[in-house]
Amino acid sequence: MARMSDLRVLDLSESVAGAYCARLLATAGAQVALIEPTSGLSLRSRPPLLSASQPRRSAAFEYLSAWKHGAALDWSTEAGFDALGRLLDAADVVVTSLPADQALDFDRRARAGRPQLIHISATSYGLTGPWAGWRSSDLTDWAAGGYLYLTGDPQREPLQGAGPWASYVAGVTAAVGAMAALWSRRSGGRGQLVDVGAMEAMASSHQWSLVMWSHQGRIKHRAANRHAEAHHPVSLMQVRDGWVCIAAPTLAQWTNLCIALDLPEMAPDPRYATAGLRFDAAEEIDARFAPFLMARTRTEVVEHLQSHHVPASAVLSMDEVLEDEQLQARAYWAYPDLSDGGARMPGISFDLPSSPSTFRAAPELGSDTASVLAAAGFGADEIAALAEAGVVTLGGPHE
Amino acid sequence: MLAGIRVLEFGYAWAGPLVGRMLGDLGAEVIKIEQDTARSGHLPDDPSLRAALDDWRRGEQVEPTLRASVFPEGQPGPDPWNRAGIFNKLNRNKRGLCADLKSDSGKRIWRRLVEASDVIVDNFSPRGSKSLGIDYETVSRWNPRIISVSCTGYGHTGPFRQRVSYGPVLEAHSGAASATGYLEGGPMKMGHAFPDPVGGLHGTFAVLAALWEREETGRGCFVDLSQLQTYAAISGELLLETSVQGQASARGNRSRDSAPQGVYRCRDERPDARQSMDMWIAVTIEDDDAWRRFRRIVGDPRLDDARFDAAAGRVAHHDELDGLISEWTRPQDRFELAERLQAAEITALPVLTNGDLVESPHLRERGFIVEWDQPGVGVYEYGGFPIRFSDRERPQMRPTPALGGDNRAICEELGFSPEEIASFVADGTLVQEPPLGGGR
Repeated sequence: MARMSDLRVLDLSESVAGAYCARLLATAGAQVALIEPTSGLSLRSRPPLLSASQPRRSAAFEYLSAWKHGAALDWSTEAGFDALGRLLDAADVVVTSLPADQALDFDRRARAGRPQLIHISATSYGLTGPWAGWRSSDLTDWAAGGYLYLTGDPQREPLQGAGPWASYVAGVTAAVGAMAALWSRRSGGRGQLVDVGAMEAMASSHQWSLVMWSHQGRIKHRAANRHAEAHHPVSLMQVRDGWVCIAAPTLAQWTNLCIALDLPEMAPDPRYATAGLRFDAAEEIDARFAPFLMARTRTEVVEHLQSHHVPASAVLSMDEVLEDEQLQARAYWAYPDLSDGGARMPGISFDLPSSPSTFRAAPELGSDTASVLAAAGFGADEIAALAEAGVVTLGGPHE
Repeated sequence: MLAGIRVLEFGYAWAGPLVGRMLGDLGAEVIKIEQDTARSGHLPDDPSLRAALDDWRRGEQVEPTLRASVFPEGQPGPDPWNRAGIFNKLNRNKRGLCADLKSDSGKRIWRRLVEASDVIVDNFSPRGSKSLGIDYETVSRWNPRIISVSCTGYGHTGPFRQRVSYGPVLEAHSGAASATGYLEGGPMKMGHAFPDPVGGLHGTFAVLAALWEREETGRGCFVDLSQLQTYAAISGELLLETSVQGQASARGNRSRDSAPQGVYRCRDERPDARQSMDMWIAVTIEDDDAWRRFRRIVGDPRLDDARFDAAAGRVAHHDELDGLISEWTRPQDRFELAERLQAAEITALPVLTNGDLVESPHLRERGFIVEWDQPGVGVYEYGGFPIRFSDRERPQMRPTPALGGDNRAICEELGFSPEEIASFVADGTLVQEPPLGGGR
């Protein structure tokens, strides 16, 4: 039996999905060691970069690797895998993002003789099925999960989201899989392979589109900044100084919205009586709302609508989010010591009783190699021998 | 896996019910607790529309007064509140209790439920959970082992704690909508309320981690989960980049480190006589080697241009390349083309529609597409469980409960006598039908 802080996780992943899974486990209190090649993880150069002059300083790496310890260990060789094996002996969970054939091979080797070990594989398509060996990118992950076709202007090409969010969804799904597998092991089970693909994780993250096909045979289309089938407004709308989101799908919210916009006569109008009727009348409704909205700022509109219990927010730019008073008040930000100061990023996004109390920045390459090995029972002389043989790197960057 | 764990779910819309569904799929006993008005959105109260439905054919837009519920074959049926596809897909593997918790009888039921349970999940506003008496301060006095995970939009503290939200509102507030968009365009929201599944999955993880810790400490806890925060968390690197470099700009469908990358039009398809669809393929060329392989397959001499040999040149001439590639993809079938490109180790995928997902041979072989016989609805296909465990059978799919469908059984298990249960029904505490005219 163990608390969260007794759980040992080895993060061998190169992907956002695996890295985010391990980050979530770390922010829930687990001891997570990032095991990267002695030449450094490819994630260290994944864009966005913090500056063009530092091609190995990735914002993605700094964000995804916070709260992790870092060890540089080349496990592609026999000696390296033996050393990794001793880390696996002491581990509860290992996270990988290897291509399907390599992942299954790794799984056989890693779990042989280690019945306790839980192997989390986070990939794009999963480890089985006709597409298991296919190549992927952030863009094709959007395509595979069915969100790409639904997002963007109906008169234009489908549009991806701004970040690798399909990988993040796969990552949190994998973290759920890890905790479930741990729970299963605790109640008399063994370790196992947990196979998560971004395509399935995203297909599982649609609200009604799959049943729209199975129940009605209908294809769901893009609708730009409106709802696509039934409600209005659930929209991004323009106001004097930018954009706001107004979402009033229920009759009560619609009524409140009409009152708030000084158009109370619209509320009982039978032409707008149901969600589908309001959707069909969206152009007309927008035209009637526009004078009120275009005469006011984002802040004025949002505060006014919220005071009438209508869900609404300004469309904030990323730099405005960084100054948002709600997130500041809830101590959301972590402050990594990067560039010339002023750097901030999301910290622990929800606190658990087991969450660590202090921030830990992403590790330098190999900065915790010695302590990670020592924690798994390696003696000082063994560690020195591994370093001598080039299997591990100790301390600063590998040259 | 979670056998023996009892969860009380107050899930509204999507994020909260998703937490309950994930835990139910994992084997927990999930009791969905609803108010009598909870399914009133699926109550069409205009009898004249029934005639119009007789002419409805598969694939057509559904009559506007019925549109939001996704009824099977467009038909609301005699008890529409139990037939909505949008609801039934999200509430499988749960039991259904419909009770007025504010009544005296309801308070008695609620206290016994809390004493007999492990987890409470809600996605109300903080004000809503307090007025219903399900707040942690109240319930932890009755059961100190209870874990309460409250998935609000903004959180229980801070100046915006009383704000109301839906997923698209949080997309706007998190910066995600402004960062998404065409190269020359304004902000763009996602095709579904993406913060909801993101928040619900994080909420599920929070429940499991809190349960794990409780096994050792013996104490429950309150988890104040703000969906704004979990949604901004998936943009961590964009926010960090912005804090160091200034504003991140929209980049359409392009890649930050390779070119070309884009979504290119293919041959249109007609899934049936009534619908025509624009079809697309997503392509990413990662490096110079992939570019050479791609150029060979396309076979267009205009691509054999030294300007395009290196990534920097391809970035500089991206628009021109997009035009040439689109010319090539336009008459082709997106699935055949993706097969050909993948066989040459080029990253490409057809842009899948909702219909493609359900019919996908890949998802079917992996067992993701499931079906169950929903009482009063029939056998239909649904999205299944997204995690494959090597040491566990796939979750069974038990149908979504009717409104109040387990009222009696749950009250019996809590030790109430048949007379008491009859009185709960008589005094209106236990309900199995929504009130008429409940609004849409």
